[in-house]
Amino acid sequence: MSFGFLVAAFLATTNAGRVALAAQAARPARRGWAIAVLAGAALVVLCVLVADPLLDALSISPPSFRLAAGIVLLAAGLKTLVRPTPAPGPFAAVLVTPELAVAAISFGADEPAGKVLAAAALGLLPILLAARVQRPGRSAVAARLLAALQIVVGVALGVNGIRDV
Amino acid sequence: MTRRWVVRQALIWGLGAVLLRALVVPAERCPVVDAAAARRAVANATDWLARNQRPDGRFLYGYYRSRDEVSPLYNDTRHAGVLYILYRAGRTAPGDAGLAYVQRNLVRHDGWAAFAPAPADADVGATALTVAGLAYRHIVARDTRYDALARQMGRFLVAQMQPDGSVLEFWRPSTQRRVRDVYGIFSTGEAFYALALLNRIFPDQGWERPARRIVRYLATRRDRAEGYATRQADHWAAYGLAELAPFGLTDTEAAYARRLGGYFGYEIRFESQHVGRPLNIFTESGADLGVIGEGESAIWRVARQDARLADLKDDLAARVRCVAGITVQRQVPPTDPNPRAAGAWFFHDYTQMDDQQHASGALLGAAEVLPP
Repeated sequence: MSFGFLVAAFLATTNAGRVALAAQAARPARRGWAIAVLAGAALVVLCVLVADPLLDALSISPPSFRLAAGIVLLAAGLKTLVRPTPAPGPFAAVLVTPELAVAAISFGADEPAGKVLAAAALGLLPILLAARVQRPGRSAVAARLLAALQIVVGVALGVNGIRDV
Repeated sequence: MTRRWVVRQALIWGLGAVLLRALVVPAERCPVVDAAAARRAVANATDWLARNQRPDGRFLYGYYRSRDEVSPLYNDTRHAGVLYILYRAGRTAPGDAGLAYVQRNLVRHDGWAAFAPAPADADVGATALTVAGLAYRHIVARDTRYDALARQMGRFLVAQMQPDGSVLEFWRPSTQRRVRDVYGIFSTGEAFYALALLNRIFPDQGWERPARRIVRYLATRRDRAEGYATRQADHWAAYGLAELAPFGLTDTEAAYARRLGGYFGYEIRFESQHVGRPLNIFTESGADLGVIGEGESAIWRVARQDARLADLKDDLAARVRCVAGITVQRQVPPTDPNPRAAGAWFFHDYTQMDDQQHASGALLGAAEVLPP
């Protein structure tokens, strides 16, 4: 997969618009933001590192998992498209989502870890911008656009998972 | 709120994981077999074909085990397919008995010959698979006595081609003309394979160009032109590509091979996800398993020879080994007391000669990939 595709996938699954909406509701302090970003980064690192042994242990081939990841991204993307505001919960866990986890596992199993982590770092950057956004209307539009991107990524992953050997 | 959130998250993650595991990514199970086991399975299957052959050279078409009843049907293309696998497996004697039936039912016209028991139309599929069988007789038995017949039948295949590379399926003896606008789902790929094999055993005799014209049609136009909703997973085309690979594939042909490898790979993964499950509703016949094994092992042979597919080689090998293990596991053992069951593959308690044909084709292809 191209580096650009990985970046697009991480941009979509971290969804800065959705994070901004959560922040507007929870009004976290700076420490809360740091914990949220660290938690998301830790999830990605963990998933990338355990991808290969996890899929081996579960007897799942990478293309088959890619199909599963595509389905999760598609479902979560549709949900966010309809309802962009995340359900109430601890702001620290706003990035700890099934879609981010399965994307990281899928890419971790297919690509070199360094490439995936670099793409994830770029994908997480817009979260820093989300801290400055105070307008729910614009945040919701951004959340929906990124959800649409997530749907496209999900479909592409799923199709690739079917077409690959 | 926190407790409700935790419960909700546990449900989303937990239930989601369970549903995905159950419905999308169950464990892929691949029974382990070696090349010797695959060859034994082929021997047992070809024993079934030979043991149940009729005096007139035709084979046992189908058998219902629970009723101990033989099917009254017959199919000439499947007869030719069985000839092909018998010659490929080195079973020359039953192959020659089956070939005698073909030779008694040839139609000749304009310098070509075709397999056509009267009053049937001459059929590209039946003729193509006979050519493939004769090619393997030449290769395996190192016997050239039927080369002339192979060339004559090859000329029929070329005569059925249209300028765009499509292949009309039938020629009608009563009108002495090709039947217009009728194309077989498998016969075009079979024609391609037969011509590619003729090119292998008779290089530089003009068989390569028509073969390439057909495969370009298969790769770029066939599915839409012949009205298929999806791309066809054509294992005969895969076989043909493996025969053309030593002569160099075009970019279009290599891309087509990659696509075919993906189709068969997905089907093998899907099959492996349902091995050993008590409520499996997705069981396959010997022919179904065989076809995907034949196709994938053919693309593996392409990947071994073409650098553009080299990145797929290991995954292709894994899929070939997987389906070989599943196929061997499902064969009725040779020790079964019923001579119409021993060595066969049954599906809903019925076996058909092409179950043994295709399964054997897959296992012969897999023998190159499996550990000795």
